[in-house]
Amino acid sequence: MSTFLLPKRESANSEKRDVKKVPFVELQGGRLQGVVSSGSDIKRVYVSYIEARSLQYYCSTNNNRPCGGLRGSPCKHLQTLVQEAVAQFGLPAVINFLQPPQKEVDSPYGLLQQATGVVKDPAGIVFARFLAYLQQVEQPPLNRPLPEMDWFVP
Amino acid sequence: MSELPATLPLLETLLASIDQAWLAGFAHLTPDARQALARFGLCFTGKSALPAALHEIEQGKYQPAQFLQLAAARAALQGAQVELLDNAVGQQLARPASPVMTNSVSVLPPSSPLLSAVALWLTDIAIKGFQRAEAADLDLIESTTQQLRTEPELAPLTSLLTGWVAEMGRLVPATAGASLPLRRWVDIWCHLLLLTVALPADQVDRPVSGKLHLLGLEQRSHEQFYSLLFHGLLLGDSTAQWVKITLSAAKVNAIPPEEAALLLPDALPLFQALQKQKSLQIEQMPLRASGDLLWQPQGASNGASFKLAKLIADYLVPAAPQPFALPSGLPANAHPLHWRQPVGFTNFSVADGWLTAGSHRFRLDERRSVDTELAPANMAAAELVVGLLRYEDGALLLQPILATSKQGSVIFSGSSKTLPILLKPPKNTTVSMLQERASRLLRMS
Repeated sequence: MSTFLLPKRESANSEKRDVKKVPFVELQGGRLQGVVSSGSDIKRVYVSYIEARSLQYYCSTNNNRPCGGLRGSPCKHLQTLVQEAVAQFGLPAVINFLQPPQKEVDSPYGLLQQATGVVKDPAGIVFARFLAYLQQVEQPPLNRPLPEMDWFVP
Repeated sequence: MSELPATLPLLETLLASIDQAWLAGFAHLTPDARQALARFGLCFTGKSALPAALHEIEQGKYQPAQFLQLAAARAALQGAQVELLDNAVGQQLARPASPVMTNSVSVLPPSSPLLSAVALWLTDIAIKGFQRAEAADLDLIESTTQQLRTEPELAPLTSLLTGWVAEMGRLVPATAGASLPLRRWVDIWCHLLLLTVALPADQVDRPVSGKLHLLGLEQRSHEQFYSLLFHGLLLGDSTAQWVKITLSAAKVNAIPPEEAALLLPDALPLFQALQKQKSLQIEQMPLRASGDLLWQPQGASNGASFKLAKLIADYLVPAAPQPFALPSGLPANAHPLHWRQPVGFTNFSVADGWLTAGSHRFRLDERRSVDTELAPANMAAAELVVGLLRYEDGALLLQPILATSKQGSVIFSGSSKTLPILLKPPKNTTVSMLQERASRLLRMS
């Protein structure tokens, strides 16, 4: 075992991410949060999140209009978001992050069944993080030495 | 070839002796950790500021300035390890000593709030200890890393910090019984802290021309950065020099590894030259004293095919007849992890993870080649190999970076997975979809 390098990491999940449907998902600041495409207009997205531990959730458009699908249970955007979080990070990591009361779940559906209710928060912060995330793929490449990347063998 | 100076493992032991302080946290030092730090301080006497800094830490003065002394002392010992490796392995391969570079760093303005924020965060993590770190600690650096990403000149710091934070996010809080990669994390922590006060300076570049023969590739990546490191031999009118070309890009975690090279379209001619074993004619391309060639596609044109076997026999086998310059890296980056010595073999055998060539025997670097085209299992059928000697835990390893099969096909990292995607990108890739969305959303009126 290397003292400098981490062991080879198994792929978090064999499922392929659907970035067209969910371009952005992250486990950040005590929330599983991200952006789900509206399907009709590339410039309109739904901002959704589910809080760790409390499992309270919310979904709205990027201009803060509440999602019409929130009728006492998580909407289809939240279902899609959690599915994509599992595809990105793997189910164990998502369970570990969300800390649901019942940890013995074997699917994203099992997590959403434990969701407790709505907690409203403006979409702005998550949407701004999404825009910063998109800026990453527009950064010009670098041709200078970067020995620091030697630490990260895939 | 396995004989290395006895000082190397002694330095390893000395470095490892103080790592427990970072694990437990400087505010929670055990008596053993205190003693280890005191013994470490005794190794630095005279003009060193370390003993005074350690005394202040002992007294509870936890400021970045004190920890910087500790990080600098560790870096000095690791620089000594690199020097020992250069001398010992250079002699065994009958190669001339590498030119030693002077330390060249640019001291950053102390008022830079972003860098101060990183230094303070690192200090807080050290005070608390890796074993007490939790997700909330990582959230505290998030807004700083977001701002760092917009500063390309800080890419050395940003690439290391974002990769480490992502890694910590997977491993903390440390569960009972689970071991953290302590040596790795302490080394990364130290280098990060040093980068907050001084970045390796942009050296004066000199333009070079000649025939570049690419001889291998390393791929490096984490959630937010992707980087290619090509290796090659640049033959000028009367000189030969080992050169490196780095191409890197910021990325996001949704981009799968096999697609990341699409972020670096300038890499395609390098991949093609590597695969076709054709040289590239370089004209007036900037070369740094560290041997880093700053790739500019417009300064290169296709050259002729070359015979890999002859190049290996002339330059890369032990006691090769032709010398070549192999500049050492910047002292600020002198760490055994970065140390490499290129070698090549035309007559060898591979069995049970070891490569044997005459009286030389090397264990293959499994970690760096696992699941790649150059995995040890694939090397048994190779006819020619170019590799890098690496140092790990008191021993040398051989990392293959290029091989040819007996049928003549060329194998390197990405030859079967990355190159086909670069040559013919699929219609809808993660990269293209995110770039399209970025172009629409980021320019909304």
